Amino acid sequence: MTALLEIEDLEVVFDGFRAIDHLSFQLDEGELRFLIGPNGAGKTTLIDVVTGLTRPAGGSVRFEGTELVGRREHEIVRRGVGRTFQTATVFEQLTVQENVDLAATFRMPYRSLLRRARRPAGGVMQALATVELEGVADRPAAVLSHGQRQWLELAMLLVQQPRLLLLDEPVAGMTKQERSRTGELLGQIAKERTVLVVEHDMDFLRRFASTVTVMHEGKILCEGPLAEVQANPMVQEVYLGRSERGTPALVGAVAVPQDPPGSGDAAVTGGAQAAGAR
Amino acid sequence: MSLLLRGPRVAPGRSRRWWLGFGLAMVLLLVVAPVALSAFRLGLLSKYLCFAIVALGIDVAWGYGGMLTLGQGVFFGIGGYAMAMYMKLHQAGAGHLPDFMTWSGVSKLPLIWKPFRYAWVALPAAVLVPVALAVGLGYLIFRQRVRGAYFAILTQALAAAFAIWLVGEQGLTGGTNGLTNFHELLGFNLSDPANQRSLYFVVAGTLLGLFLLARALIQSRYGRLLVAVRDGEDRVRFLGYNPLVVKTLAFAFSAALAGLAGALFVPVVGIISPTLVDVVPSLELLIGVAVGGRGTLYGAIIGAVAVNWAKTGLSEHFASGWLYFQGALFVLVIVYAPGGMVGLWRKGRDAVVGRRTTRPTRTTRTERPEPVSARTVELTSAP
Amino acid sequence: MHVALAQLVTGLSISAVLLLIALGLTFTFGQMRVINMAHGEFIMAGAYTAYMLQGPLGHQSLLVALPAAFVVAGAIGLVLERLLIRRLYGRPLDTLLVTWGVSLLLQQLARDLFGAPNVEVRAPTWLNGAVHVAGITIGANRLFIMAIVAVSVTAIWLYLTRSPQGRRTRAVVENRQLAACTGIATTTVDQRTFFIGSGLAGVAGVGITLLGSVGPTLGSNYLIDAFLVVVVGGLGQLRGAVLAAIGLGLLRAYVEYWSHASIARVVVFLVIVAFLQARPQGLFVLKTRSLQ
Repeated sequence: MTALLEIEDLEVVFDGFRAIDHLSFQLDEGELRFLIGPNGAGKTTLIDVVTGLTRPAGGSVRFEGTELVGRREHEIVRRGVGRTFQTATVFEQLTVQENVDLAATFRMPYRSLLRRARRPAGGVMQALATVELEGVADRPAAVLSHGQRQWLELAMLLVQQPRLLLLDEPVAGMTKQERSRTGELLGQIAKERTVLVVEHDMDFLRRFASTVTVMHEGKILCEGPLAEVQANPMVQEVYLGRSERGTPALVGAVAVPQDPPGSGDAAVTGGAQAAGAR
Repeated sequence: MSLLLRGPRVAPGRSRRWWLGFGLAMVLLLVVAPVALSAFRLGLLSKYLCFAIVALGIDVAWGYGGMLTLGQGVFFGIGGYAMAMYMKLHQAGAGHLPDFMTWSGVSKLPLIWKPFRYAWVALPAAVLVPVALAVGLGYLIFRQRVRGAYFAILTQALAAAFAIWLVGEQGLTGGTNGLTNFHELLGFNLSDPANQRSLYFVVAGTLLGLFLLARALIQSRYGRLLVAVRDGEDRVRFLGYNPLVVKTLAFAFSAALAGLAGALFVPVVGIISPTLVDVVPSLELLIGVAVGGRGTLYGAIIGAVAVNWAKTGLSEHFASGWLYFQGALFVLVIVYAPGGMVGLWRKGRDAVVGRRTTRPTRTTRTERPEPVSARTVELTSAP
Repeated sequence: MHVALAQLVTGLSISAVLLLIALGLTFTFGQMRVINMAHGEFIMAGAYTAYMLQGPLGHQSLLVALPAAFVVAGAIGLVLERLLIRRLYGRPLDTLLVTWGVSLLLQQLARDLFGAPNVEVRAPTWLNGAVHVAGITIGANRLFIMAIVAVSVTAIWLYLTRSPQGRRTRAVVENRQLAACTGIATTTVDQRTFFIGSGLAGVAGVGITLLGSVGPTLGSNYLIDAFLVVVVGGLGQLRGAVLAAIGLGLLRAYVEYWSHASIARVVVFLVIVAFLQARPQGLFVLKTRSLQ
């Protein structure tokens, strides 16, 4: 079986700072993989490179055997790689349904786009139903709550039927109920597609008990089932070692492995939020 | 939770009310105005309607697409000069040079003038040359993601360069005086009031037709896409669209309208000159759109007519008054009523009726830095 | 050869004036995202200040006019910032339109105060001479302008790099939020930048009086070119502005000489569009990822 996504010897440098350091990574078809690591480990940068937002200094990113490096963002999307952002960005001036419709018609030729849209494109209502936003379909996206925006973004992604989904912190800043709902959604989505999730929330990770990749300082530290990764002394050193040297913010931000289920939720996501805020 | 947000849907009577409004506007423009206005005033209205066509295009590019184009005068000018060149050559007759060329000592018809002897070249050129320029320029500028203020500055520089070039090429363009002294168009005597009247109907009809066209464009999926590009160009890329195409198309549409308006303007007003294509008139057209209400097509038209009507009225009575008025109007509208007249009216109506608008108006978006590429303070602070 | 050298001097004096005007623009643009179309009227204010002072002060008034113009134009800029521009932070395109309205108002005001016809500012006699170098003649007035600009640019550079205020300015240019978080009073920094930027335009206005007469639309003639310097140089970049001003000034001078003056602007425009294909963000880019 060949890998769906194959990253080889990738290198990203920002003004001398090596954000990704000769990293190699593989993702197989149908996999649900979690990507974790402390702040600045290069997780989002990795997604940025795959989706064409950031240009690497070297290395290659192959998707279904074709090279993605050097292609523009929209071409990569058209090849079947979709992503969400840490802070959901939806079009506030358009209605919820129009947002999803816009995503759905991305392969439509311009002469069809120029026609009047009398009814939503195929799959739009279904995608809205999946994320339970049919009730607000005709409201402007501006009125949505933070969690609802994340779901809308997810619906926009689903309607495009990408082969590979890259989700950047899909539950950051969500309430407990919202998180568990997102978990259910992710469970459904992962059945049909290949998904890579950047996430700090340990509870969330545990319920899928899938493979986890840990990144640190632009490299992959280790990879394997969650329990194995948690027991890895190197991982503990990365997360705990640094916090002992007086950066307490990291403790909250990086979801300490022995985090008691449930109790530390607020701290965990709170930290992740602060890290993601600009 | 979603139940809480379930709001009133778009009113079903909305579309019927819209057509009622459009019908009323048609009656006003095509029946009431020609009956009620003197030949002189009707001529002025023709001129304002030409500007309204340009404003319509600006509104699509700026109001909906977020591209602040300060160089519409260039496209307007190209359309105008194309028409004027045809009329000049036709008037001079075969084998003769247009009058101004003889005065500037030109002995041979310049090459660029030759095709404009034919109406079937000149009339399409008035629209197609601006479109080609807009596509070329738009492609080069948008391709490199040059946008916002940079785009505004570049279009403004283009307008300035074009006007200076026109002034400098006396023998080719008529210089500062421009092209003027037209007697007839396609066999019709332009000094005949009846023909000027017909010309008014042509202009008004064109405006109404283009208004419907622009409306269809805005209401299509493409129209939504344009708004989406305005509000989050980078996000649109990750939906699999190329903003370059979306923006260039809207820019080209606005150029086509400006070119067409220029071609109509010349027989109506009887002159095209560098002062009509420079930075100042380009910006004056923007005032019209802003005052009427950017992001609503009828607002742009009403604004363009109102501002130009005020300009004529004020400069008739006191010369310097207009400039103070124009400056103050611009400042006040943009600072205090970014939605323009339409925005104020809506606000007033909502205050009286006491309801909130059910749909986003797409008019008065305050600009924000785009969120997508602005992410990760994480990385800058990491090393 | 002599001609090429003479054009070099002409080009550099155009560059010098453009640079002084563009400095204010690039910093207000880079720091506050304000596109100030009324900047041209600060130039005009500076020029009229020189005109007004020559009555009471006579021939040597130009030396007094330089600091006076700085203060007058700076004060007008400060008033504009306090009254209007601060209401529009975060809306750069709207600021452009509003300041254009202000520009119209100020031009008309100048017309009503000083009359529509252009006026002359008489230069001190020692500026009427010329210097002969390497076989070409350089007008003392052009040398004087270049000297003013050199002094101003050096002063700005020292201010930005050596003074605590300048460091704060650079911090705000780089990352406004972060600067605010570290306790920098960004509003004060904004006002100071606006004052200095406008003041420099005023100084440029005094310099321009040495090249020609003064009229209400004096500033708008220079403004577009100055904006192009900002586009080419990169936002908030001192060295970018210097290089871009020199480049554009020389380009214009040489194209004007080798073909018509009317085509020079068109050529400059095309060269800039071509340049943006290679460097869409200008010569120097501020390396923060939080911009735009």
